[in-house]
Amino acid sequence: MTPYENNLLELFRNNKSIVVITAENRAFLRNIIPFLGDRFIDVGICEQNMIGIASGLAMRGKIVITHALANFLIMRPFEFIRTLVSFQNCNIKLIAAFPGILSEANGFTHQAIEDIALMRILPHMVVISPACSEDMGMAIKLAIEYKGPVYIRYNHISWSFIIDEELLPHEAAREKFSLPTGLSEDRMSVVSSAKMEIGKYQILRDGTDLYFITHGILTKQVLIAVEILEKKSISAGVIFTPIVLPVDNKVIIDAVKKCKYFVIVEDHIPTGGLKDVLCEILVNYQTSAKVIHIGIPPLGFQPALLKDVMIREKLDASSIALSVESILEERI
Amino acid sequence: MPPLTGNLKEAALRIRKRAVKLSAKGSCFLGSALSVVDIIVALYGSVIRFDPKNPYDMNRDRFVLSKGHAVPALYGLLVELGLLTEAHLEGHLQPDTFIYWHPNEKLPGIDVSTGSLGQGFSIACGLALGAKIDKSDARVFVVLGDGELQEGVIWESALFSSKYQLGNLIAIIDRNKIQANIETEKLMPLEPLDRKWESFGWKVIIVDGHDIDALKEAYKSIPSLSTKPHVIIAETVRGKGIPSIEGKIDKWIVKTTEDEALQLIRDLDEINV
Repeated sequence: MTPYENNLLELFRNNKSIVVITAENRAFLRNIIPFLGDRFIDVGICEQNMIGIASGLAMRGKIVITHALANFLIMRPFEFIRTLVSFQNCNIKLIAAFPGILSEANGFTHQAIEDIALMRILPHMVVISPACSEDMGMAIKLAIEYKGPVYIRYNHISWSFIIDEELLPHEAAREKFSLPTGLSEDRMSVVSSAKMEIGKYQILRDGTDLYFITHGILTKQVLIAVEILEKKSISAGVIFTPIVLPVDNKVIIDAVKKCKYFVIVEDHIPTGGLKDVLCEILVNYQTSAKVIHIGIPPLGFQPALLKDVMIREKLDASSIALSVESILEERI
Repeated sequence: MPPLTGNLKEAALRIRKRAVKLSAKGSCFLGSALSVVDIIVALYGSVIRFDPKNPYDMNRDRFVLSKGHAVPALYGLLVELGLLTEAHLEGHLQPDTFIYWHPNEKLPGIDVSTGSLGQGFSIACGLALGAKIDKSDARVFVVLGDGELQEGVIWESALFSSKYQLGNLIAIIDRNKIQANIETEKLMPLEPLDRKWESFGWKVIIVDGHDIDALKEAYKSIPSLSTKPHVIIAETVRGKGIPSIEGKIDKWIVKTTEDEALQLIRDLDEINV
């Protein structure tokens, strides 16, 4: 049983108001479906109807946990989500499977790479992007405790996931840095002990040359990149935003006071995601900083298995480190 | 006792007159409203379990006007039930009154904010399913426009409610054969409509949508413990009750002057003498 299934089942058993519903996407529920009884509903492949039904259930006081592939979950029924879930502040949780690069080889039809942008314009919507499958348990618990709509980028990849050293394409990087393949023990504990709190970003470490801001699957790559950069005497801080929305202005503004370089790393297009979140904060506070986005191009990424996508799109740790190094060189 | 008592035909006439008055207060979807008046009056005058003194009772039957633009009929009904007053309707289209071109659930007696066609039906499925999960005997009544049936989600919901045996779900189709400004059969033919619903696993009842007694009988004929959802195809005339509006394809949204409205009210009286 995954941390998600484990926590969802426990919450489900303790709260008779919870209804679990899916549009024929059972991948992340497989082990618990037999225990859910008549409070588990599979509506079939019809995401619009799922959101409408969820809204009717919520009107009867239910907490409704909906499941579908990320882009079908939110883009097909976007108007339903806007009108029924967001505007009416419904207690509905949207569990988005295979968001961002996690759709791997499915192709552009299945890529939810603008989901945060879409969720960001919806009133009341909380957006969670956990760093790993281990954190999904915490995410669903938080989502259910919160009364209102929540969108979760489901992350099924374990924190132990690594990109094999042999696959690293950048010989230059390998020569320059002795590349770590994983993450040192203390870095591991940094994320696993990080608490998720709505409205809070977390500073995983401070830096003087730049700050990374990141969430989701790429968090670990960023932390490895920080280690690589450290060997080049580049001091990078990390702001971790597992609760992407609502934004935490304070953490950002405090960081801006210390440093004027920000590198957003997210598996999302540049428009509407964390980059724009940051830029809006800077304008609102009448301050400025250099903001760079490392992410997904507007027309999507080349379909491939996860490791190959990360390397192809330069989202692996060594590519991130190289990009940052060249950006800083430009500055000089 | 049903929420609406007394002479239902007279109630329907008063509701129609109120709808006409709204057409002089900045316009309304008068044709559609006049089309559904008798459907709603017969429902509130017969089987629906709803106490106007306790409009938020969890165990009430729910009413969803999925074709939300027909809301003047619902406003008029809420006046009959004492949940709104004639004075409230004077605030039609005024900011902060929540009395506008589509229903808003901020008003007591309105269960669901509708207007986006197809959504109301899907929500009704969720309400019916929720009642079933709660082992409640509450039912859900949902009024659909025939043009609205072109929305794909309608058929997703039709499949769903059949599969999940939502016998507590009753749909009423306002079959006036005109949508916005064109005949349904010309734009996107729906016939044979009854066979379509039957093939989706629904029990179909066809009735004259302006015969209040026949509508009441249709509602009463639906067993409270059914494994099948029921649909009443109510054959109606858009703009029913006013000759200058009845069946006219350009009379969907109607905007009148005060004088014109008074004339339309006289027309209503003449027909209903």
